Amino acid sequence: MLSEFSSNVVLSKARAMYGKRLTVQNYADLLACQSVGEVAVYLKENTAYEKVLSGIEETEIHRGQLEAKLKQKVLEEYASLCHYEITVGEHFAQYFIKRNEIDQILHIILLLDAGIPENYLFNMPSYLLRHTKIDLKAFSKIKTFDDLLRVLNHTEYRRILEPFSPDENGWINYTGIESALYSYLYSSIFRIIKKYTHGETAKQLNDILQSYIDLTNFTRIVRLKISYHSEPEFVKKALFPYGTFREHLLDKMMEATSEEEITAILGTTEIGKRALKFEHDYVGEIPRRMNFRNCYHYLDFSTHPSVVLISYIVTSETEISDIITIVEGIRYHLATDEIRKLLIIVNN
Amino acid sequence: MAVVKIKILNVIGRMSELNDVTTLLGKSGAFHPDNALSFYSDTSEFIPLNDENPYMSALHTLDETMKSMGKHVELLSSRMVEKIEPTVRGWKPFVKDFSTSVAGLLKKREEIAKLIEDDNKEIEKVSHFKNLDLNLDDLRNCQFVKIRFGSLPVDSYEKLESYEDDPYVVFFPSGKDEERYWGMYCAPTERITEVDRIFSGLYFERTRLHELTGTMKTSMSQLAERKQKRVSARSEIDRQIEALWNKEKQTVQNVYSWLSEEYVFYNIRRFAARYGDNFILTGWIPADRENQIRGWFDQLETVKYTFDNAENPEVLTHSPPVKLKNKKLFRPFEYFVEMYGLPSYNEVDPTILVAITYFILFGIMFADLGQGLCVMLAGYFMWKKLDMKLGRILIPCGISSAIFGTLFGSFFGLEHFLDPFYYALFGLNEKPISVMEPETTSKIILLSVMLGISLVIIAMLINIYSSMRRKNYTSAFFGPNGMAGLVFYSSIVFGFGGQIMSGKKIVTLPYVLCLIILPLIAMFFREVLGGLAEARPNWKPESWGDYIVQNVFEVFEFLLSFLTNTMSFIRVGAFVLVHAGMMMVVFMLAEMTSGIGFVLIVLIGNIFVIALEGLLVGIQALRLEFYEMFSRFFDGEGRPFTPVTVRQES
Repeated sequence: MLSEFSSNVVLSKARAMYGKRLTVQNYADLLACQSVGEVAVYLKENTAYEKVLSGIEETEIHRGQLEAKLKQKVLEEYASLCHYEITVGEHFAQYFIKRNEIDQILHIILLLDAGIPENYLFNMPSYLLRHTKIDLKAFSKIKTFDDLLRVLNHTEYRRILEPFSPDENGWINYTGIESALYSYLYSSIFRIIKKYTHGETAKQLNDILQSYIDLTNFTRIVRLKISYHSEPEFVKKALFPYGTFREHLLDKMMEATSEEEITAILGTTEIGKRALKFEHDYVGEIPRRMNFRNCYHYLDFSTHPSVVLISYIVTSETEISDIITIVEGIRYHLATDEIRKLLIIVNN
Repeated sequence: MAVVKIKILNVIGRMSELNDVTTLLGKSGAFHPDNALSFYSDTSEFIPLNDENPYMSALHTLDETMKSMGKHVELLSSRMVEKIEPTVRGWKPFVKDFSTSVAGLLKKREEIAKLIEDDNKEIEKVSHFKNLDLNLDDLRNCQFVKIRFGSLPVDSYEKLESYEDDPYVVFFPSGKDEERYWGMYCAPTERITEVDRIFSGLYFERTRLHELTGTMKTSMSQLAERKQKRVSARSEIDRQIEALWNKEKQTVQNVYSWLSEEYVFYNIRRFAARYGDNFILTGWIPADRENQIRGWFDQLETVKYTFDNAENPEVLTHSPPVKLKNKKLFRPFEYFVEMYGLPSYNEVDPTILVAITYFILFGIMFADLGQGLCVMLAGYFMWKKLDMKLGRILIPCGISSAIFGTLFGSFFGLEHFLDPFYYALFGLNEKPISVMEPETTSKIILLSVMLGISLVIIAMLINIYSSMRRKNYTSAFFGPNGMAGLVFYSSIVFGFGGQIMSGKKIVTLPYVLCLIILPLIAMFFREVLGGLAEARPNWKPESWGDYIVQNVFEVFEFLLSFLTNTMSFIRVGAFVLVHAGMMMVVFMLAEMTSGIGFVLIVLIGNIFVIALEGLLVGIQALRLEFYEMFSRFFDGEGRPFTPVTVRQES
């Protein structure tokens, strides 16, 4: 009992850390920057990213370096918060590491599919090396899918990836792999929630994850059906077997013939009603915006440390995502207003 | 009166003598100019003089030039400026030449400084490669191999392990800092594109060394030599600037002093007005300078002048400026009066009252012999070393605290430390007043209230006197702080108070009717009665109903203020008890330890009480002055006497 109460320190710590987030003025100033270097200088001199960017050469920093540094900050903060969350902190830390590992596996598969697996090394996140059991450096040496399975030999990912070996044409079912890996990830997190949490804590955590999964499934249906004209069977296999949407609802969405129809079906659900209030240019924005909105709410109002922990990480990752969006917008010389529309936090 | 006697001076003359007039008045250092046009009813034919000051530009240029050199000159005295005046006739070309020369030298210096900064950056860049024993000329001449110098992030350097099988992806480090490895890589010409791509993916930043020749060591020494030459050049310019300053310093001082005077004197014209070819100028001077000014003006041909006393009713309407003049003993307390507001010219200066009452109130509320002496010393330090006006006030306050501390027998919180003193002098076994005794406590509170009553009555008496002087009969006789208020207040206090204390029946029906009801009615109808007394034509209110309703609330407010202002003085007694109580707590804590702990706690406790309570008492006493007393008789709407001066008095 006492140890559970001591997890409450996460509430104060996470909120204090969140208090140092970027302000509206910071976003405006970042949007006025003209280069990646200027963005890095601004973040270093005016925001909480000062420490993690302290040793960089502002004039020479690349976008990839900047993103790696920012993500490193999130990982370090998450590790620090998990340390204080005594009940489920250690398990949530593992969830976060697994998520990063899955991202790396998907990244190398994309490069393998593109025929340039050796380029993996350029974006390999060095800060992850000491947390993961996967030999990430070995990823840059692989030439085939079998090489990948060999590297993942001692991990649970091998078993998941084995059924997805390329066909005779060398085609890799990326979507299927992504679904399988994320299904594995979600199953492990739901197991943790069921085993180690209860009551309102479990309810709030489930709300965060399931609403995100529901909207992600919706997005996948739209993308695969409308953009790629995929068969319903294929679409079904690409969905995550979690979330609150019943099978018949998903079937209805898969039978729909246009994006508007699918969206209308979404609008009949509770989560859909909330999510569709956000203005969006493309459906892919909806899950991320809704997830941020949810976590922002819980960060302010929840009294459960593990909920606040997850919420803090989601909001921090969203902030970094927005910064990278700004950097990419600057690199591609987009107008400020165009970049601003793509940001999640500013338009929340 | 504790204000300097002032006279109003009106001057007229021909425009040709305006400069002489302004110069004489400026040099006097005692002339406070005022807007001449406000003294005349018909000013339609007058033109204000708003010419641009011809000395402003040169003075500003000289000022900026000296600032840019980091130099400064003291202003010469007025007598010296008179002496050197003939030597500064050529001030315009001098200022121009001097500022141009300095600007030229400073510009050169800035250019060289920038080059030195570039050299520093170049040296820092190259220093990372100093351990590489390579000849740059030879490297440039290579036909089959390409070399790249630059730096790699530490993360990326560690990733190079993955290229151990590729003999062309090798980085030769020469130096390292926290974030990056500095060095070079090379590859055959036909492979360089691929190798460049790999290193680029690892965020390799190239350093170009175009201008350098020879080995790294010789390049560095070349750069260092070049930098040294530039540093010497910069030093030479500094020397030239210094030499120029040494040569021209005296002239600069002369010209600057003369220009400062002429600039200030010329500005007096802004207050004057023109009428045809004549000017009018009005201002204020201390009465004791009248003869001197007369003597000066009598030497001028066309100038005519008049002096008038500021006490004249017509002159009073222009609100003569005020300069307080008090004896040295009371002068420090002018600071408090100025904080509230200067008295109008015909208003009573409350400085002496503040000095005496603040002295007493502070002493009572902060009564401790030892702590009082500390406050006195602190005040002395603040006055002498830090030049703070508050320091001068703290000295008498400290003395007062010490006196009352002796009376209450308190020395740094030790309540029986002075008992031997009482025994030796008066034969008493212990101190006569022990503030924490129950029977003394109620007496202290009662005495505080009585002190408050006395001060309120004194404030009312001052108001009556001040109002009579200003011929404000409404306030003097019928106002809440006039005769009516005084009679009402004192009859309540002494009537009921005397009745309770003596047991005799004082408050009878005639007493109530004549001394309480009647003054109350007078206060209620004060504006009507005052209007009649002053023979004002508009003594009747426009609407009797509105008048009555308004005055019901106002009288209610007066009555409440009598009560609250009196009760407010209870804080005096409260602070006596608070002070003793706080020291009691300090000693309670100290007694929990022994030896050095006891001493430390007592020391720290005393420092804390002196600082905290000293601040509180100072503020509370001032509050009593401003709110309970000043509000009864003092408006503080005077304006300060600020004569035109070139040099600030210290």
